[in-house]
Amino acid sequence: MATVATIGTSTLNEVSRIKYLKSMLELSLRSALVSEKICQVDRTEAKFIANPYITAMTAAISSTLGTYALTTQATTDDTCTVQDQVSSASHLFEFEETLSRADLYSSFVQEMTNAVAVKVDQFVLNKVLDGATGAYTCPSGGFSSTNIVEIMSNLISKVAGFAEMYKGLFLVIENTEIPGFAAAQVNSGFSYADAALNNGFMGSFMGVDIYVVRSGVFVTTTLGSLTATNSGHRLFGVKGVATYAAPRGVQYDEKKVTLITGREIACWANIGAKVWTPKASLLVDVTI
Amino acid sequence: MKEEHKNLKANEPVKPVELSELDEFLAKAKAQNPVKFALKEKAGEFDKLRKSLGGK
Repeated sequence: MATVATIGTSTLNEVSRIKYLKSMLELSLRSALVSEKICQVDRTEAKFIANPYITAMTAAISSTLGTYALTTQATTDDTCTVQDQVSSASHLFEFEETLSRADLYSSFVQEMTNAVAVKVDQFVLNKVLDGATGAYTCPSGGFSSTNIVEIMSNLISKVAGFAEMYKGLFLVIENTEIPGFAAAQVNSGFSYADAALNNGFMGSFMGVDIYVVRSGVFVTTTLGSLTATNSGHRLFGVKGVATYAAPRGVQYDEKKVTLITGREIACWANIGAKVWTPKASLLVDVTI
Repeated sequence: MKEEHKNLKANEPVKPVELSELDEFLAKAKAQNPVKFALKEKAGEFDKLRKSLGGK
């Protein structure tokens, strides 16, 4: 529902001199969405995505014998289940839309779909972090400029040597860690430091893509079906090894409601995320 | 088949966990991911959390 009293209440004298910047309302600040950059995304209409795995096999080496030994292999089910829903809804009365000089409907839908996408992003990041089995604790001082190189070196070593590493590495930090990173980048020397000094914060450091989310994305609280204990933690890993399922992506619907003018607008997304068991060590839970 | 569906309201701020519900919250976290819970418990994270919420 719009509080339209604050829109277009200018006096007649002012109205003739007012120019609206846009046909829509100005929307709130938008957070960067990261999860699609680091996960494999599935938008098919599946509730379950099954990905059974096999135990790791090893090969024996010996002098030429002509014989061999058998080992038993086991398979295990692993499933990504879509069981959470993110929603945002409101009602827009007919008089609000008609009497407003801005396009309230478009403004509502854009704002709500963005809110849904941001919450989905937070859920996925926290869910993937919860499933990460790699672990690293930063030295005292966390992501300070003097620690950055040591931290990045250690994080890279956690996944180095696995073939998947060449899919690309990522680190998700919150904006409060930028001061340490920015200082490390401009002080790192030579052409890289020059580039950082000229262009500002670099989205890549030591071959790792750095994604920045707003403070408060990694949380210790209940997020739908997830009991997240991630405050003070960040996520590092190999891109594309976790799966995030959002059947049909963000959807919206507008409907007439009996006895009320205008339309009810609802936006929602159904989501699930999974870190596949054999690949879980390619994702590292970074404790600050 | 009865399934559990959870709804997150996108335009509501994330509600921080409160001291009164901390024990229940931690029990859920432990059931969900016992290995990670044990690591965080050993590192004293939950003691810090309890103190930050005004507990002992």
